[in-house]
Amino acid sequence: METNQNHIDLIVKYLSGDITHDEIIKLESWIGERTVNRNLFNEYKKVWENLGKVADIAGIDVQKEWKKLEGKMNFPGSIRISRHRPAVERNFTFWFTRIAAILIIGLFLSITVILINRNARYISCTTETTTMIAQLPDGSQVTLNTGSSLKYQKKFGKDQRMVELTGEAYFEVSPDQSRPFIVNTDKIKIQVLGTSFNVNAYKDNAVIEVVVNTGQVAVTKEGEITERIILKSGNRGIFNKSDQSLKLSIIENPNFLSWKTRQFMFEDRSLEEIILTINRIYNSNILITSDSLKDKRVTASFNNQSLEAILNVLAATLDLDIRENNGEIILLKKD
Amino acid sequence: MEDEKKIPVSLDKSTFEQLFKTLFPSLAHFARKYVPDNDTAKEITHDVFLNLWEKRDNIDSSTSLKSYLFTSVYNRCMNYIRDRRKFNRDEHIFNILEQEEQSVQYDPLEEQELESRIIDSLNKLPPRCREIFTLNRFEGINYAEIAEKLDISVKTVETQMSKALRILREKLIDYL
Repeated sequence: METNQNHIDLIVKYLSGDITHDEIIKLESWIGERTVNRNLFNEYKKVWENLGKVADIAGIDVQKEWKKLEGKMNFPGSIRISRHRPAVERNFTFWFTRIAAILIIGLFLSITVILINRNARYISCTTETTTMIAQLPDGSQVTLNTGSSLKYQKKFGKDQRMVELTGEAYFEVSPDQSRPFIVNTDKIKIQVLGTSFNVNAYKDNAVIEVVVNTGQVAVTKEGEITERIILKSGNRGIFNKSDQSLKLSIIENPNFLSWKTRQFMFEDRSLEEIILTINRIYNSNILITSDSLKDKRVTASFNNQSLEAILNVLAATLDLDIRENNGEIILLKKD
Repeated sequence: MEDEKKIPVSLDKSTFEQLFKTLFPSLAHFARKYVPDNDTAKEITHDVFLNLWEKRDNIDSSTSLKSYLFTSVYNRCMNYIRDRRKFNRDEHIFNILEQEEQSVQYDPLEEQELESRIIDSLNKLPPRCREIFTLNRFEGINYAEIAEKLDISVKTVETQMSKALRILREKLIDYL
């Protein structure tokens, strides 16, 4: 007889004492049948017994306890926090009270006030097809890769330096011990004092990658503060979106900054991988048609060269033909 | 910038709420080992969280927040016992205190490991499933009474009970 739901029901009934005589006989014969059954029964028993260790607090309702604590938390703090929330999260009551109050003064005025209020909250920089340098009020510099955007509050720097990033960016943060610099992505938070590092948080990537060039940063998962990793120069932090794990490793890809510097080094890499990197950085559309060509190994380095120059080097090394067609560049084996 | 201690931890309300909801039961349970009743244990834990919230802008990040919280709860329990000892020479409490003072290195986290895991696993059960399981396992109410109380069938209670224990076994068996 196999282990099925029925037997687990019997085990649990037995453990809780809610079992009939007939059921006990049934359970006993099942346990006697095979060693695995006995082991499974013992495992459940062990779990059941160990639960007794926390009997005193098992009935605690955390939601209720939280409400109780919230009542005790002082109010100025809560108000200060709520200002950090973006405008879209404002609830109905918030707007209703504002609008109602201003209605007394005049409808016209009220509309103006709301618009100013809404517009003043954030400054955002977005770039689609080129890289872009954003200079922040504190002197920090952020280089945004293509298809990335950076958002920060207008009052950036007052007590905290906080930015939100989607996509990829390289940060050179001005040192300031008293005001931590925080980069929020949708899954992780990076906290620094003064350093330079790269964050790759494109939405469609399976991982978020933080690579530290100089100094030191702390990375935590969204909503966590006790679990964090500290990255130093040469370290790489990887957040894996599928299993939500945050791990520290070393820099494996020497070209992590090449989108910014346009300096690359390829050591025994496949042509396919090289072209992928080049396409990403030059926003180009280079295709390799033959599979045998894709696997060709190349060792080369480029230093801020034009796309044409790079392609010429590759063509000469691998004996390729380059054809252009409707914005696509196709690499072919020479006949 | 050489030392990781220098990177401050920032604590906003939603993070604080999450921290509270995750650790409150474990901390209250931990406190309960040293103080005589559940209410005192909960009260001490509340005080520790409130204190953390008040100093949220100035948190020493040289230790993890979790061990900071356990240590704070522990210290407050010891204070509580000391205060009471002045008035009440309770042998039992006295003994606990003596034992703790003798132990050279005290690591509340290690001691808490399994129990925290159990509490955590219980908290992660689906709400309905947890409610039913708690009523039976910790309040000793039988299947039929639970069914009546919650206005559901006995069969549903049975199913939820099995579901709960199956999940708990999966999560805990490697640590028992």
